Amino acid sequence: MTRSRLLGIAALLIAAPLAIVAAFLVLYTETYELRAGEGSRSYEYTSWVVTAVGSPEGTIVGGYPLVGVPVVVAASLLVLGAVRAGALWARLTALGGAALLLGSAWTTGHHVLAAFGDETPVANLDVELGPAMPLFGVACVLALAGALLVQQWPARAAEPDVAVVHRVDGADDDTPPFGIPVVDPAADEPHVR
Amino acid sequence: MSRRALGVVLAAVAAGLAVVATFLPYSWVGLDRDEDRVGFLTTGWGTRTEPERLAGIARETQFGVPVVIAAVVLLIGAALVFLPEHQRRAGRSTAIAGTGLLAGSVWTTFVVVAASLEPADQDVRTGLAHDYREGLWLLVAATALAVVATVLLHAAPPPPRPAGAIVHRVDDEADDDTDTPPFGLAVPVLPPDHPGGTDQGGRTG
Repeated sequence: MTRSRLLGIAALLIAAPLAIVAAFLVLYTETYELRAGEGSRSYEYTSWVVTAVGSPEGTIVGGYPLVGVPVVVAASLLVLGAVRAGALWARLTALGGAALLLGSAWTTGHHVLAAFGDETPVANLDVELGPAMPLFGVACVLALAGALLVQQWPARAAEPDVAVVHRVDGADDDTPPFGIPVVDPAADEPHVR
Repeated sequence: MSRRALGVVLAAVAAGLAVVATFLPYSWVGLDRDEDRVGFLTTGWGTRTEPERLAGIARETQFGVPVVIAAVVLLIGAALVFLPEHQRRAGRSTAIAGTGLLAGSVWTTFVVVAASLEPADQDVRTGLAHDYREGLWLLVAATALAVVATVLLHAAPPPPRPAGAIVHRVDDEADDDTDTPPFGLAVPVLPPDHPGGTDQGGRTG
């Protein structure tokens, strides 16, 4: 097994748990500053649940986008591809998993980005980015790099060990590229001093 | 048409459908009584609010961006199939990447839109409609088509055709020793100047 494939397997095996960890971290936090000194209320959004911070409401599960599901599926494809990296189908599975992870993390990114445009007429809303999106980014880069490294790339053309001469015009009655060898008549005769 | 050629066509169709789908509505949340339309129409490029003065309440998510990029990657993959034979694997790998990207973004889009249509505090008495619209279903169809196209692109090439006539044996219990061979028995031909040869039948075959 080549060095680049080993590196690729390592990158895939790091990317997969990283993506799953990111799916359990906070995507963004919304803080509502209530009017007339009624305090504030914060909601933390992960890829699975919404949690009301410091409030008896606790966790709100229903009606929230479970964007973590495709991430977990993509991570398992990455692991499958890394474990069986010797086979062509597994290398292609790793590539598909990396693309699936990138697609879902990218769309999640747009969803989170749009949260910064949220408004509400009743309170002052403050949106803060959580650690999940940067970690998703790292996982995507590692997964893509790993998926490309494990592939079997076609062999490069061999480098010639002699000087390479490129002909730039079509004429072939010119001086040869390395010149005309000099005939030294003295070389045949005995050297006399 | 070979399976791979069909895969190229289907990949191009899937890419086109996915791009068209981002411009169609994904969902509709609101009231739709006579002349009194109030609500939010979500597409791949934001949310149209009716009437306009309510704009800003609904979230403006640009779901369409990764879908369009995935469609472009899928098209590139289909086009790379026209490379010479030894480089053609690049096209098939690119098609996998495009399909994966499309599947990931459509899946997440579906999950986000579906969640907005099934809020925890939904109350049927309000008469608020929560409808899936054609854009979302078209995205799912385009993804399914892209998966089929990618599988077809990886089909084994058609086996080489043998030169000459093909004979199929229909009788399973054939006896090679007594049956007439498929092309009949060869007629022995003697050279024309052979002392025992005749002119009739000498030039058959």
